[in-house]
Amino acid sequence: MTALPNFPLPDLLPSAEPFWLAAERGALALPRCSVCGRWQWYPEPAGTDCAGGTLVWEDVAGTGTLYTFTRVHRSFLPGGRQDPYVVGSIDLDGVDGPRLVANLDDSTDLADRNGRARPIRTRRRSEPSGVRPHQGVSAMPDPTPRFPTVSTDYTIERPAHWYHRHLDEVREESPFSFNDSTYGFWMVNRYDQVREALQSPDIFTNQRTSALGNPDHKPRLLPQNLDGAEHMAYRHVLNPWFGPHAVERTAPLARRRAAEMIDALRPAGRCDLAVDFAMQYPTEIFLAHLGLPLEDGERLLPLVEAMFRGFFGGDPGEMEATVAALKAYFREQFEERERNPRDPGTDFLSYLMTTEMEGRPFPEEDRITLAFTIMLAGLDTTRSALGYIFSHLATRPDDRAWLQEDLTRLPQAIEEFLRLYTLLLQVGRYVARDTEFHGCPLRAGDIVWLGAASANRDPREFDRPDEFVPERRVNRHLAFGAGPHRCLGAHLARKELIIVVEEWLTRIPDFRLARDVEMRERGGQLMLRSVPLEWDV
Amino acid sequence: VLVAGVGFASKPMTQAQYFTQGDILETPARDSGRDAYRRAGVAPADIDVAQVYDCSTISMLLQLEDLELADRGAGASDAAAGRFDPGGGLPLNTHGGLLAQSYSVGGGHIIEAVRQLRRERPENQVDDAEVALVCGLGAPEHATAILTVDR
Repeated sequence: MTALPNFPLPDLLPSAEPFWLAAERGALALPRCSVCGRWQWYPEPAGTDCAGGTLVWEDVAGTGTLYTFTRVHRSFLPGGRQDPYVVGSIDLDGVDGPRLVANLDDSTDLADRNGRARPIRTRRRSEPSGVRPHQGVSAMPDPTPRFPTVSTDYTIERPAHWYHRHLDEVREESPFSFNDSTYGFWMVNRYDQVREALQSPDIFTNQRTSALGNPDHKPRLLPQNLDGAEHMAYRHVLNPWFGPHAVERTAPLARRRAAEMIDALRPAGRCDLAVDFAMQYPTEIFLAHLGLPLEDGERLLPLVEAMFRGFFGGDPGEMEATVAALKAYFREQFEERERNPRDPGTDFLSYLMTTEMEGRPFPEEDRITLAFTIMLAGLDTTRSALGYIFSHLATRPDDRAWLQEDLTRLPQAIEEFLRLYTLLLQVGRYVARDTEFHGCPLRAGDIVWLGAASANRDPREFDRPDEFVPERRVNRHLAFGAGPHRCLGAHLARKELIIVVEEWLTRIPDFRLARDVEMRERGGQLMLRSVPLEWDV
Repeated sequence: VLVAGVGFASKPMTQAQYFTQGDILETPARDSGRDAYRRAGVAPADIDVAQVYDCSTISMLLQLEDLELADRGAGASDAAAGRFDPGGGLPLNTHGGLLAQSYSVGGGHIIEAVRQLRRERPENQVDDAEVALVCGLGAPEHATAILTVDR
C-alpha cells in the first residue's frame, strides 16, 4: 500500500468525537438531523439545514463512488513531505447529500471514476499508527499493536533533571511510544533499538535530524541533512580537521586559555559557570581550532546565544534572523580570504575553499552552511556538558576527591558524565520506507525520535544506570550518537571537557553550588540555565 | 467612474455543504453576473477589462465561465492561448491578482478597475477601457459589479 501523508493531529472536538469512536470499532458513522433527517457533514453542534434538530450518529456502509480526486504534488503540511498524495471526494452509499473528502490510497484504480471505492477504514487518534486524521480508502493492514501515546512537550524548560527521570518512565513502560504534542513522532527509547536505528541509515534517513519543533523553521545543516555516499564524501573532507591529531594541535591553546580564564574567575569566589565561562570558552576554542580570529568571539557570542534560544523553543523569527547574521559572518570571512588567501593547512575556511569533493569545489553556499553547522554543533553542546559536569562535581565531593586523587581518571569519568547527563534527548530521523521495526509499524515519511538520553540510562545496557559509576569500564553510551552520523566533533569536545575539569580542579579544588538556587533545565537539548558556584578565596 | 450595476447571489447552503454537495463546478457567479449585467445594461461581450477574485486557479476559471466571459469548459484553454493577457481579448487582473496584492481579499481588484477606467495605470493600461467587471467569491456567495467611465 501507499503511505498516507504525515498529517498533524486533529483537535478532537466534541462534535466529532462520535466519528472517531466509530472508527475505533472499524465503522464509518455520520450524523443526521433528528428533525429533518438530512445528513450533516462536517459535524456541527447542531443540524444546519433546519436548525431545529439534534444530530444523531448512524453507521453507514463505508463504501461509495468516487466523484472526483486530485493528486497533491507540493504539500503545504509541516514536514515538507515530497511524495504526492491523493485526495478524493466520495459519494457514500446510503448517504444523500454530503460527500466525504478523504485521502486515497494512490494504488486505487483512480482512472475508473465510476468504480466502487473499497471499504473505508478509519483509525482513532490514540492509536499511534493511525493518528493521522485520514479516512483512507485503501487496503490498509489490520490494526497494529498498540503503543502508548505520550503528550509531553520536550521543548520547554523544567526543573533540573526532570527530563531524565521522566524518560526513565517512558522507556520502561514501552519500547515505543507515539508523541502527539506537536507534529507527531514515534519515540524509540531503549538502548538496543536506538543504536540499531542509528546504524540503519537506509531506513532512518537524515532528511530530518530532530523530531522536535516546527520542521518548517529548521535551517538546513551540512553534512547532517545528507545521507549515504554524499554524506560520506563530506565526512571524508571534514574528518581530518576533527580527528585526534587535529585536536592535539589545538590542545595547548585550549589548555592555556582554560587556565587563564579560570584564574580570572578565581579571586571573586563565585561565578555562574553557565554564564561566565561555559559559552565563552568553547566559542574561543572553536574559533582557534578553525583558524578564525579569537576577537570575533565578542561578535559571535550574542548571535550564537540568540540562535540557540530560537532553536530550542524560542521565537523562530529571531532564530532566522540570527542564522542569517551568522551566515553573513562566514560569507564575509570567505570573501576576505578571496582577497587575501591563507594557508589551507591551518585555516579551515581556506581549506574548504581549496578542497575539492569528488573533483568539484564546494559551492559557496555549502561552505557557509558547513561552517555554520559546525559552529552550531560544537558550542551549545560543550557549554551544556560543562554545566552538568560542574553541577555534579559541586554537589559530590566524593567523586571530586576520587578524581583529584588521580587526574588520569578524567577521560573515563568524562565518558560517564556524558552518559549520565546526556544532553541529546533525541536524534530525529525520517523514515524512508514502510517497515516494521521490532513490532513498531513505521510508514514512509514518519518522524522518529531516537532517544539517546533515555538509551544511555537503559538498565538493559548499563548497571546502576542512574548513578555516576566512576569505575565503569564498558560504557558504550550514545551521547555522540552512532552510525555514519556519529558526532564529528566528539574528539574536540572530549578534549575540551577534560582540559577544563583538570585545570579547574587544579586551581579551584573545593567548590559548591550556591545555596537556595532552584536549578532549571532547558528542553529541546538539555542545558542547565544557571550553575552558580562558590568557593573560598 | 460610475457603479453601473451590481449583482449578489448565494447558493442555499452552508460553506461546508458548498464544498461537499451538489455540482461543485457551478458557482453563484452565474446569478450575480446576470443581475449585474442586466442592471448595468451591458453584455459580457462589452467588458473591456475584468478583475476576478482569484483565490485559486480553479475558482478563477469557474467564475470566468459562469460570468460568460469564457465558454463553459474553455476558461483554461482561453487562458493558455493568451486571451486574458495584457493586450489579449479580455485583459484580466491587470494588477497581478491576489498573489501580487498580498491577498487583500479583493480590495485591490476594485482599486485596479477604477484606475483602469480613469486611465491612470502607468503600465498595463488597457487602451480605451470603458467597461470593467469586478467580482468577489466567498463560498457560498458571490458578488459582481460593473463599473463604467462616467461621462
